[in-house]
Amino acid sequence: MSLVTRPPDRRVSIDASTRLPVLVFFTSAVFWLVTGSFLAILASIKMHTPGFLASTSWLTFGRVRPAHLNAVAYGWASMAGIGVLLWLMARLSRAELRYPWLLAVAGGIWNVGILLGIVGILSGQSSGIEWLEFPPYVPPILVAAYAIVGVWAVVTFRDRREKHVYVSQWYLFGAIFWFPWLYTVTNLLMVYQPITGVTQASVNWWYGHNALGLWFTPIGLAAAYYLIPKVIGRPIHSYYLSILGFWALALFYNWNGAHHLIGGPVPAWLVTVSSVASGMMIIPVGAVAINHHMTMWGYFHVLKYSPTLRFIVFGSMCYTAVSLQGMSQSFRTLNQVTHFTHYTVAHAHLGLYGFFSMVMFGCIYYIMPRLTGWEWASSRMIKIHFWTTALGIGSYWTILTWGGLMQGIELNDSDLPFMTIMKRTIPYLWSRTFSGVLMTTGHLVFAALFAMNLLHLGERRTEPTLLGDNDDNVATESAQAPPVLGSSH
Amino acid sequence: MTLTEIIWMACAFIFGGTAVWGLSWSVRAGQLDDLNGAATSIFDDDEPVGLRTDGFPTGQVEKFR
Amino acid sequence: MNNAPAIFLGVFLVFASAWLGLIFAPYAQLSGLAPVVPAEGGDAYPRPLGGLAAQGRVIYRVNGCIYCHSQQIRSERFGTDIARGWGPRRTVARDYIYDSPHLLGSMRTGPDLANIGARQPSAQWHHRHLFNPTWTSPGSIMSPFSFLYETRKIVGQKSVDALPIPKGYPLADGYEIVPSDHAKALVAYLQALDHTTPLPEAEEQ
Repeated sequence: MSLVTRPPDRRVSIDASTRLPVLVFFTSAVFWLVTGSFLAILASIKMHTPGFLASTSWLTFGRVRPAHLNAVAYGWASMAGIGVLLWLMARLSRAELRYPWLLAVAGGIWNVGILLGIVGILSGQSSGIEWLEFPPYVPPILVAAYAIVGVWAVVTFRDRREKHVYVSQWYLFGAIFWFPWLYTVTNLLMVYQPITGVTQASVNWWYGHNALGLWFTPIGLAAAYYLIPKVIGRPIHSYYLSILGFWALALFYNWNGAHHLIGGPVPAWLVTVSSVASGMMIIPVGAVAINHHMTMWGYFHVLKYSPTLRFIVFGSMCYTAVSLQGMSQSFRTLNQVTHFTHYTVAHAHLGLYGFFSMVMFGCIYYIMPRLTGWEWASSRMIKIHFWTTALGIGSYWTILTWGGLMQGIELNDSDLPFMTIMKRTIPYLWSRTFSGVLMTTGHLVFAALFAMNLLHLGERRTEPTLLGDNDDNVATESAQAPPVLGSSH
Repeated sequence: MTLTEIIWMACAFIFGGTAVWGLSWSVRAGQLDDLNGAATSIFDDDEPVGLRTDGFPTGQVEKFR
Repeated sequence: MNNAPAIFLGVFLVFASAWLGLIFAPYAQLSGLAPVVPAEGGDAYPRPLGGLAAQGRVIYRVNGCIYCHSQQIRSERFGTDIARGWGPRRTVARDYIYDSPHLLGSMRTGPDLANIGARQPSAQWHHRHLFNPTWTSPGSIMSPFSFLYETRKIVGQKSVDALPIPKGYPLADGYEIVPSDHAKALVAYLQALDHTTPLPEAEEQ
């Protein structure tokens, strides 16, 4: 009855317009997350037990590892990121998505690309270019799907009713324009009209590094800049800092990639310039870290209750950590130790998992109930998801960072035989498998929760599924039927 | 100059040009005029500042202290 | 903002220069590199890969050897690559002018392979190592590439390519293990990996 007296508010109808495509992207993302996790465990086991499933070419380590990377980077992270991007863009523009089915088609095309790519890698057609291993027939498919997403995000922005362009939208626009530019140019220069030699390596790492910093990072930060203030109900600490951070990222990040080639057969000035730019990253990273911390100041107790906030704040803290670590790795002294070791692997996972994936989990916890009209089935399962993944990435990072440091220090002692050093890394590799199993357990719990939400399983709730006791949280209007999206009452 | 080099130069100008256009637009459109007000643009009458939102989309207000 | 034009110009230059600096400048600097003929005469270096080795490079690429093996020797002032005997000199841009895609690698779970052809010239060693790495390197955690080999019944004479089998390996009497064409190509590529020819720009004071 209250529905009669109160017109459904704008936000609800905007969320509803994003429902189909965002659910398509999220569901696919969760599927690829679980697939990628099993590929990861397989690759990890093969590192300490090389005879495991080694008799078929499809499952050899050198194919399973890139299949894992591409499944999680383009399947899970990119699809979750695009879902969040579309939802955020519609909300921040205060405009409904037009023709949402078109975006759902884009999600379908993207899935076809990923599936062909993963099968291509496993069947022995890898391009051999790190971060771009998909066989040459896949990139055009991804570009076609992406074109729809990119154009539609811009169309939604043009429909906007909100005059102000919020900082999250700046970050989203960064991602929207930078990704196609990076992806197509790199594919042109390395696959379709290949240049040769070490120039290729420079392009390769320009892409590999920017994919993280100019595609995933802006989406993750856009989500954090929206959802942290939104959940705690407090505007961000300093809007000025947030805008400064965005432009500083845009200015300096693009220069960073060549620090992957320190000591390599490339011109020395190239590496030096990259290292300097990596140092300048202190500006955008510091701006974000200070801003998020000061916004949360006095509100940290909310972490006890809100699943969204807990995942996103964990992710934000990892962002600061991974950025500072990345800067330190670009300095020659440390790089001389850590280059070519497991230390770098730990760093990459802290970025794509500890930061980006955890932020995406937080976003999905916030967005899903608003699309399905159904609350999360179990706060216990959310807690299991959080602790398995947080402890999983925490132990993964700690173990491989330490193991990589030891490995690097020993490699720089030429009296120690290589085989001895390699054997000493094996306990770390076993621990890595353990951490991977922990994270995968969390992913399975998350996938189950996600499916229950999608299918409206579990008891019907009228109040949010929070993590702690919320006795004083009894909904005063709990009898009121929610204006459930897409349902007809 | 080879064709490749010309394409690269063009790319650089498009990339740099877009960024400058974005920044100059944001200044011209007054996006940077009211930085304090800007931070509150994500709130509205329905979900005002001070309202914590994490949960069911009924629009109801939860004070989960 | 009165100084807006200056700011915009600065932003533009930084953006455009990052792209030009990281991609265009290395290309401009390095795309003119050509093979050199040693002063004492002889063949020009580097040379493009021969047919079988070029096919082997594809096997190396699609089976992901780069995820554990680099192909770059760093300066003796940076790391211990040369002290470990992985190469007599650092590798430089000219060493790679025929490489596409580049296989520089980013990880050393296993040793560097920039000069594996010079360090380990024996084809038989490579075949035994690929079939079961622990046969030649006890304790190795390298993936076995036994799927590149064929176990077959000996018909008539034993094949000249047949791998010598260590004692205790469960191979039925009358059977032999022979490399496939892929394995032969891969080994030809590994044998061709040799960046030991001196280059003037690789010398360090």
